[in-house]
Amino acid sequence: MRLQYILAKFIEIAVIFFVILTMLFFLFRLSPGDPISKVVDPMLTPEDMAHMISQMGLDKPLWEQYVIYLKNFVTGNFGVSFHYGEPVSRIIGERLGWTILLFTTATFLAALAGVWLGKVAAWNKGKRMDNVMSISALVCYTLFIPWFALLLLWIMGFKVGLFPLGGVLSPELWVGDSSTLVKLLDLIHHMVLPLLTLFIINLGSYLLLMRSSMLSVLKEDYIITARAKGLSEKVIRDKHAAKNAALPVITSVGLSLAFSINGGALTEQIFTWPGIGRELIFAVSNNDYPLAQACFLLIALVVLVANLIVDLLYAWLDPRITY
Amino acid sequence: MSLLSVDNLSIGYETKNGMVKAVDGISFSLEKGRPLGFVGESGCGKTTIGMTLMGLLPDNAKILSGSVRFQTQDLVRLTEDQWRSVRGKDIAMIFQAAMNALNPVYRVDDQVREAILAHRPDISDKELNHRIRELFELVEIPYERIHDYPHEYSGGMKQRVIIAMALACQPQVIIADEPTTALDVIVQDQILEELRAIQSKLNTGLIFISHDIAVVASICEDICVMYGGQIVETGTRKEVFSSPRHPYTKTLLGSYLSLDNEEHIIIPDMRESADLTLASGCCRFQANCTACDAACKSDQPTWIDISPTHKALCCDAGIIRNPHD
Ligand SMILES: Nc1ncnc2c1ncn2[C@@H]1O[C@H](COP(=O)(O)OP(=O)(O)O)[C@@H](O)[C@H]1O
Ligand SMILES: [Mg+2]
Repeated sequence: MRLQYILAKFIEIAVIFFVILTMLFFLFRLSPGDPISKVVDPMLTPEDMAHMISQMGLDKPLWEQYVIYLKNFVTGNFGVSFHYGEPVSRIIGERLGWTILLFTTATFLAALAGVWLGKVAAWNKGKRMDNVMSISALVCYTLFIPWFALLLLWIMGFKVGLFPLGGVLSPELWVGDSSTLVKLLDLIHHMVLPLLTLFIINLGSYLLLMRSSMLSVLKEDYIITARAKGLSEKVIRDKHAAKNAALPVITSVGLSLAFSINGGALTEQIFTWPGIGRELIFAVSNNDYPLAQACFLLIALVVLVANLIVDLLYAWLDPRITY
Repeated sequence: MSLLSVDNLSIGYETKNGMVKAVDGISFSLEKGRPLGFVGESGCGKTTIGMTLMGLLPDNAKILSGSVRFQTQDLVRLTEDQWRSVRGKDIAMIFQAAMNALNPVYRVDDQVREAILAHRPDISDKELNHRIRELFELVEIPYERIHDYPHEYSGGMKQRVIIAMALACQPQVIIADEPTTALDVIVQDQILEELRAIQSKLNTGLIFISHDIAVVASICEDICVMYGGQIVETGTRKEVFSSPRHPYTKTLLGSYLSLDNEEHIIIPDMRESADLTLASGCCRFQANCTACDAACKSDQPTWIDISPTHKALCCDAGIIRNPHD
């Protein structure tokens, strides 16, 4: 892959991000209402408030505020959360890890399983195995997330009591001096239900996507060419068909990761998973403007980076992409 | 003994409107070093024959009758596993250089390598590389281009790779199905020249399929003219070309103005296309035949010999025997 291509992609996302950064600035300052109340916690004492106002440059003209805003962004200063009274950057930093852990695990597991099952379904097109898999996938795909998540929580967590009802850690294990293994098992125990929810919902779409992609690849001339060489059916399926068929799934994985923060907010909310999505819901409903603004920026950044990764991965896997 | 002999082969396709008999009782034999050509308009069953010889018929196809003898085996009876050891090794196919007869995500040389490894898994790296070099030399692709991906090749180069792939295991029978149809005229000529040279050098059995009688005549010793799933006339190149007897062959040649005018494409002037649902064995050309009479509708056509090598399928021996009527 040419360095030039990667560089061009980086510049592209930098420019887009800058535009979003600017738009967010104006959105938050120019929307109706007192701009100061959106940036500075109204609960502060008058002295603190005055200090904040001068630090953020809110008493200065708009363009100067904008310059300060950019400077703050570059130095990682996103202001202080109204609710937590802590720097926004620290809150985001804590939440981000949890979101990444949950969503990348769920997406990758679902994509791997979906590609494999979709391949098998397409290969057995029209047979019972295919019908069962396709219909189940369709059901998964159309599931209403909150309903399914609550159902799972109610049965597995509440009725059967196999899994905790929410959170990521059992405090008693983490305060005491338990071994790393015990802590890890505890984390997995908490992760099972939200992971299962996301896995099942994503699995349906990956399976269907892989299946239809595989079916169209199987009609390609190079599949006949492969057969004519006397290759085994397994080699034809896995080497010649599946590799081509899986390319569209990569795009889909990228998109789904890109939208995991906002798209996953409901799941995080239901399982009280301390991630960014849940924090965003909280920030918006509590008028915690600095926190909300940082969450929005992060969403934009994640979308852009996920797209970049998909582009690079695609160019690496598909030799026809010219850069 | 013939390399390959086909006897009374009939193949049908299961369709929504019932069975379509795409190949109806054809017989022929292929000799080593004597290229055999099949010519006929699109849809007359040429590809179906080729695919039968490769064991690659689609799922809805059915071999209704007949046998295909190759060496000591009747190919019609092979299991899928047995076919796998024949395909590419004993009988290989050169496909039309369509857009993607090569897999876009693998390098060209690896795709040819795969064809060798499929039948010789224990070959040493040294020998494999040597063979690859030899094959690409044979089809005149510069060695420094063999690591490219298919999309970096022109149509003609892709077709050369497909030829190299077919030759990889030194098969005894090569089936070339419209190998030049997707190419432009100049490249077409180069590829034909190449095929001719390879054929005379390796002296394999070659079945050459085309809708263009001039192309077939330029490469084949013997020619089978097909119409509606039947062979209607067969003979040496000279016999079929200079004294065609079957009304369809005459139509085909008549619309092909002259041999010198190479760019002319044959479009036979037909009123309707062949009816493939007709009962087996009856004359399928009757709807388009200028010499058709009442007997043609009721009788079954028979083979009428003109010379030991030249014969035509017709209900009316008079028409066939007296070409100038
Ligand atoms: N998979 C199929 N299902 C049904 N009919 C088919 C199928 N493949 C070919 N046919 C029919 O069989 C006839 C012969 O086709 P084909 O062998 O491809 O002819 P050619 O190669 O001479 O153009 C055509 O009428 C075609 O429509
Ligand atoms: Mg054809």
